[in-house]
Amino acid sequence: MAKQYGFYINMEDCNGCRTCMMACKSENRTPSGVLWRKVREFNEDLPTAQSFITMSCNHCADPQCMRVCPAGTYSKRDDGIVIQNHDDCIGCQMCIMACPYHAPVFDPVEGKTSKCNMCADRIDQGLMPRCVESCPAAALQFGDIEELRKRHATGWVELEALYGMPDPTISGPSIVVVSREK
Amino acid sequence: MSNHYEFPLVFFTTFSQWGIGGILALTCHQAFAGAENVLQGKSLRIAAVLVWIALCFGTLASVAHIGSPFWFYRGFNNPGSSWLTREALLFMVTNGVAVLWLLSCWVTPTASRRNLLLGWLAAACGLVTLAAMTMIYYQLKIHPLWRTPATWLGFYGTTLLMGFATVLLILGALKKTPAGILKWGLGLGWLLVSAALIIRFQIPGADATSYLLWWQILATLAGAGILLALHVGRRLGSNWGVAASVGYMAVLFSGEFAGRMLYYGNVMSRAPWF
Repeated sequence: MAKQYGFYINMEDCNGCRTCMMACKSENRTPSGVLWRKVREFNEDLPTAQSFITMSCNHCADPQCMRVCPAGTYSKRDDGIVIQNHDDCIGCQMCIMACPYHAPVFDPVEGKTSKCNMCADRIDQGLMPRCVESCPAAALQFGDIEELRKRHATGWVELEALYGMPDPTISGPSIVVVSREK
Repeated sequence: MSNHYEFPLVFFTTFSQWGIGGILALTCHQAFAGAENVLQGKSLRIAAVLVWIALCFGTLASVAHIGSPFWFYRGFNNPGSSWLTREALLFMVTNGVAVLWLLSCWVTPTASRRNLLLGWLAAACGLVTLAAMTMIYYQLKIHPLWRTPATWLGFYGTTLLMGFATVLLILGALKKTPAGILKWGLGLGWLLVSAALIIRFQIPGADATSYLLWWQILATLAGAGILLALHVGRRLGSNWGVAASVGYMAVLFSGEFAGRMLYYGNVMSRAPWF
């Protein structure tokens, strides 16, 4: 099986500080209103009254963005990172409609869409993605997704029921999520 | 006004479906009507131009949805997997054949065999293009309100209903007796649009309280039903004028336009999906 990098997201340890969001924005210098990584907050009448999930592009095994993009701007590297050739984007927003995680972001000023590239340049230099490096709680980690899956199980059914997480069989997201109940 | 309605896409899909249905209906009439009722000369030119304008306007509206419209040609880059690329390429073919059909009807309205051949060809290309247009939405597994047979039924239903109603109304204004097949086309369109609504509004998340839905039911379904009854009862004739046809068409179109606004708005207003 080909190599596939992914993220480990530990909701138990995430306190919603949003440092990952700002580190991503700072690293990638995205325009105003364009956030590649977002921290979603959930407030429910449940013991899990307040929960946070940090999420960006999940570099899926079957990227829906790559499938639908008419300009062919998306491609998957040998290490599984889904990257976009931003110059060729025409701003049709099909990738946004197709991505189960709403990861690509449209910038109305530029008229184009962009998304997380997992800090591929940093990874090529042997560094961590900036969001992972910046997390003070180590709630966000990075690595070979098969290794991460060996160490942690994801309760997809629970995540769908509690937080409305999309069906993972649609695109095969390269993430491991530990929810607060674990 | 909310931008959840995706107005460029609403204009694009409704007008282009209207145009494709119009070419199909007009060709059906020309093929099956009696010699005294076939459109000739100026009347054929007017009818052909009207349905072509709908197709042309719809095609142009598609570009308004693109964030970088001057780079639209890059959208042809991915025919291997993108239904949007396939749709764009097929629209080029359909528009090309439709222009040839229009020119043929305009320059040589008496060349009926050639006009019919080009009309059938343009309609066939249009119907294939519609399949690609439908797949753009049907392929999106994350949106149950789009990934449903109702998308197929709704898009083809609009095409038939609007196209055949338009040609019936044009013929009514021209005091011509429509070919019998037109009532079947309109009836089938009515059934498909009705079935699409019934299926779609069983899906969780469909907004059945929206005024847009009720306007579609009132203006399009009731309106087309009345038009069909008038046609079957042969009451669309001597006292039917141009103003009545234009007004009736505007009401029918407003209903389909409202329905399409709801089709997009119901999904897009839920963003982000996660």
